[in-house]
Amino acid sequence: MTVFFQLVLTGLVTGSFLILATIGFSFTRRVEGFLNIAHPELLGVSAFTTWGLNVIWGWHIIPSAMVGIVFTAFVGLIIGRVVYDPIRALGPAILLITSVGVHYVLGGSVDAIVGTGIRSLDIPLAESYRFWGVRITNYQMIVVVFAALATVGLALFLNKTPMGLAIRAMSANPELAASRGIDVKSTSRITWLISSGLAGLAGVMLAVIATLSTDIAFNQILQILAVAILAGLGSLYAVVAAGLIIGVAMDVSVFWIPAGYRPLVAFSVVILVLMFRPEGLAGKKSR
Amino acid sequence: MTIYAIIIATLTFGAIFSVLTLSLNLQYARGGMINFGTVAYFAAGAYAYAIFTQEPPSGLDQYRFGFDMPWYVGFLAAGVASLLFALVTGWPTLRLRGEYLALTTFAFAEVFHSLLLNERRIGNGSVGLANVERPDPTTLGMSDTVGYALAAVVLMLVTAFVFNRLLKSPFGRTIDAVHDDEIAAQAVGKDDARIRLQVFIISAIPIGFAGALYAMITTLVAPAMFTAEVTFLFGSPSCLLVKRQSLVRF
Repeated sequence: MTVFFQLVLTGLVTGSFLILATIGFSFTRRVEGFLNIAHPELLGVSAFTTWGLNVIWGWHIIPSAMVGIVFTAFVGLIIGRVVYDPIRALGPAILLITSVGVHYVLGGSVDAIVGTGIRSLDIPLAESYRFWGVRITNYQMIVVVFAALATVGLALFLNKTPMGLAIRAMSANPELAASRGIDVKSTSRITWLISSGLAGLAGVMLAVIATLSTDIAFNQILQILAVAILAGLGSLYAVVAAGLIIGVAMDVSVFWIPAGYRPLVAFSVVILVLMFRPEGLAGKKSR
Repeated sequence: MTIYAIIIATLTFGAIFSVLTLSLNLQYARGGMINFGTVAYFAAGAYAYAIFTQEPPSGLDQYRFGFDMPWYVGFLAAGVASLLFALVTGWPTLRLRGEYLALTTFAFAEVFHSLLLNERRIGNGSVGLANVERPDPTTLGMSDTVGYALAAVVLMLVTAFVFNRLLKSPFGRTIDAVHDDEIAAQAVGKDDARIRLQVFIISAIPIGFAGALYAMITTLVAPAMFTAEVTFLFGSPSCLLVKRQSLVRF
């Protein structure tokens, strides 16, 4: 039984990581109105920037992570301005296909610069704590804390600050928002910075809890998509519930079936939910 | 490699992948359904062909089934397998629209990929099935490469012809009606869900055949050949070359 609870706890940590990775994706979808398939590659950009600063240049992990996150935020911003802005008028389908292209360009660049192989950060080994027979490491706790902070922070930002309100107005009705004097350009810029920064944070967390290989970013996309679909595209709060559901479902399934089938479990959950709620957990009926 | 060989190779693979694009064009431009899981239909066709024509497992082989049938049985089986896969994945997902459909079909493709990779009993896991049986074009007096290039081009032309005829028929007009105004189509008694599923299945069959042909040409099926890249490199052109773009609901 302890094993079962251990898996539930690991699932909650996986879920927290998925929340971090998906929240930026979902945010872009909500504000910019399209699915940015390249989003998971930003996790890779951040993870490998942090790794490069930390291992090759020998920086301490905290400044490396900060630089990694800021760098990723700006990479995201530049891509948003250079690639997506000029073709925005062509509609979400074209943007989606273009983002697939961006995904390959980013992934290929990371591959070319970093090279293949398995790496890990230069940080102390994880310390394990034991509560009622269930183990959790300090790094896992950090992931959970950051996921909570990012969610609460983004929610507060969107609901309490003028900039957040402007972003929400823009996501609801861009033309009306523009005619009411909201600076669409700067709002869009902030959106890209925030969503890419969140991807950067998720990338650092990935580097902390996992060993890094260059295909790691692509391996996340399925789970990110699963969480985003389950949550209902664009809904931020439902991402939390969906992330935890999928995280726990994937990890607890290891109790019964081989671990290679984890993505299969994630998508079985998604397909089951979609059969009853075609717009996801929080989706509204819209045509 | 001479220029001649390059041209033949381009023609062969170009024709095979244009079958995929044709099918996706039918699904997306006319049916209004965006499918990001094309590679799974392709893989289903290729694996079905390989499994039906492969000899029964022996020695270190881990696959369970090899029926040792002639190539034409395998070829038909490929179309049927792709059709069945479309039925199984289409039935639960076609109530979804736009991005939800795109992502769920993508999910199905990745699940299928992971199944092929992990379940060694289907197709030997990551090793795949090698030495896939193939018809020999030299019996018709053609060299191997020319024979297969011709087969691929014929498949492409037949697909294009059949789809074209289909879209000009009353069925094609029904598709357009459902696509343009679902409520109106329902009001005149068209079952839109059924038509959508029909489009989905019809466009899957040629992808299965293309998969079988691909398996014959490469004489190998392995999960590494059927990654998401196939969908995005050959599927996305159809999304960009949409005939009736302004009408596409997304």
